[in-house]
Amino acid sequence: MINTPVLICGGGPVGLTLALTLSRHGIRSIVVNDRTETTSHPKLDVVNCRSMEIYRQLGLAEKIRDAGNPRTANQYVSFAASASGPWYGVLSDRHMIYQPVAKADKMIRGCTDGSLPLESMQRIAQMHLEPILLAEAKSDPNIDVRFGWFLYGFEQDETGVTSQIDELATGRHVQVRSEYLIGCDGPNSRVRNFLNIDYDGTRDIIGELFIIHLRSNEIATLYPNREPYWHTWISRPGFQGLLVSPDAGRNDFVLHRTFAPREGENLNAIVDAALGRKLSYEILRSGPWRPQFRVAQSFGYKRVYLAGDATHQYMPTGGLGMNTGISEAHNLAWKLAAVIKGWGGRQLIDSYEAERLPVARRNREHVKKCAAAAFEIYFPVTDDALANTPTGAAKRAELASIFEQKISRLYESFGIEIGYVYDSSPIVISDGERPRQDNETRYTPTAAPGSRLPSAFLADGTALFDHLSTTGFTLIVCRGNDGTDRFAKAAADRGVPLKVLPLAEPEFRKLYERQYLLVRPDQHVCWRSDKLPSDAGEILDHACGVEALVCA
Amino acid sequence: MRITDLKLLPLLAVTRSMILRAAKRSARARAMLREEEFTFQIVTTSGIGGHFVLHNGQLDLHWGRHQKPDFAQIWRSGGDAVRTLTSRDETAMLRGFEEGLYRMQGRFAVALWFNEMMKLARNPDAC
Repeated sequence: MINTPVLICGGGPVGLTLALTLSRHGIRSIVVNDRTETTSHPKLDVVNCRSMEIYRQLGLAEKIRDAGNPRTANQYVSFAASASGPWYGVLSDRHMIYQPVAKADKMIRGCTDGSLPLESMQRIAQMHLEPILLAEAKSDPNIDVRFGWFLYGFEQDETGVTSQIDELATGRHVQVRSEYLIGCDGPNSRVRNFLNIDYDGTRDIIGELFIIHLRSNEIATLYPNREPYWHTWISRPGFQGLLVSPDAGRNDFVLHRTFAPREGENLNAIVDAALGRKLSYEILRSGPWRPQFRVAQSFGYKRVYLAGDATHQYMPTGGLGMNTGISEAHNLAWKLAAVIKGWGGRQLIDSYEAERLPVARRNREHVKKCAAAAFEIYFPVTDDALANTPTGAAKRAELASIFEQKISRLYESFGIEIGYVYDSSPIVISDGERPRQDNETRYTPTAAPGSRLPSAFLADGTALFDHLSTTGFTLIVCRGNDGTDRFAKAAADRGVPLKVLPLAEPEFRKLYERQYLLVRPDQHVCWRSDKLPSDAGEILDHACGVEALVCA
Repeated sequence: MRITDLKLLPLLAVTRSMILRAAKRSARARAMLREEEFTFQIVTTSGIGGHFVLHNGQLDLHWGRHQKPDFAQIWRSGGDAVRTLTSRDETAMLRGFEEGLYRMQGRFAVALWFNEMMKLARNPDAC
């Protein structure tokens, strides 16, 4: 029998991120994965802004950027009759998200109103992201990575979970006793099935789509400076598709089609049609897949919880599949660590579902709207758009306008990425302000309890997020430092890690709207006020899920 | 107008009946009738067809064209429409669009609503 605080079933990006975050909190884990190696399929093509902020906190952001799209390469999105043109439109300058990372960084550093994330997104294929996370996990003494192992089953009781894991190559059985078991084992999660938790929503409402992974050194020649755009949406009478370049520095491409070829239909003919001319390429694999819009009815039970695709299945429109899972892992990790270390109460773990299930549903609705938009751009394309005439040019301009209006929703979604608020959380202490969350694209900075702290920079140019405690709470004091000793003492009495962070810059008081803010390890505000409470312990107990506080 | 275009009319009537029956058998289908409000038109280029109006949880079918539907499918012929809409091949709809059997206009979210509802109508346990 092996003992470990946390057993994680699933070694994809979410499972590995959970293990790495737990390790930063000093918590050991075992990660079992029935695959023997990381994926060789590009799969996802973006780590979004919020996930990059999380990876920055874990010290991994630069390693991920090194493995992905070059920092000076574009992240453009285009609409065309084929990858050889004619081009209808390119989304390039209208939003930070399309800018090369190096340029976006400058925009972020110049932002003083908290309206931008601390990190820009990173264009990268999952097959290049996973090795970074896996290498980091393997070199971490707190993480026992077991690829080629399978969770056979588990039983939970009041004090922990007993699981049987089997090594696939040898058939060896090992029993693992853990305080918690987390299923990060994908859409067909065994852990979720054992818990008898189903997804809500209806299966297969779009049916079967088709994907082709190809490799080519010549496709880049179709783009300015031999730098493929991130996404090329293709539409002309008789052909629709999406050509994805997950990384302009590499020669992998993915072609999406809205239906599978019939028997006898030639894959090369499909690729040629998308490219618009005969180029050299190699098709590595292809196959059908089924997009879904489903969310688990519950995120766990007692000592067994779910994260990642085990809690939600989304169509990739909007890039929220893995990215929602990364935020889930980040939310869950500090709570598990707090409870295992003894300063977190039982309500802390319960708050995981209370906070993340509404976000999963909100993201699902956004993804659905994005999926609809992705189909709608195909509707107005007619033969006129291909003509080399003034009428053709006018039609292409019209299509560019429609494209910009509809498809920008998929990419410019800061409201979704960083604007979610845990306002119904049992461990957040409301101050009566409930920020609106109905704008998916526009993010309005707010430090209202439950929200992600708006990012800002100190006078010395360092990022405020880099000064926040990664393993405990941070009491931000906007000017002055009086009376924080009592807060610190209350934290020390409870064994709650607390960092007091005085901020001299007057603009923080304006941005955060209160003098004092309590920020959790996941960078979300859980309390704020203009005066310190008479009983700081009460605030801390509530934020740690130790006891409920009746709020005004 | 081709005589085959008229085949579309009974299909629309049957579709409405299937949806109403689904609402009796499936909680999800009942909820869906309250989730949206829209006009969804299915017509041929010759103008044969009708439009579904979902309003206040009630689904009605009206014959003929609507001035401003939220979503519309305009079919080259009634025969194409019936063949594609009743096909067991779930790729038939999107393949048919690419092949030019029909055009679409408006909010595709309405089509997603209809796809989900028809899944439930054919199989109430689909969710």
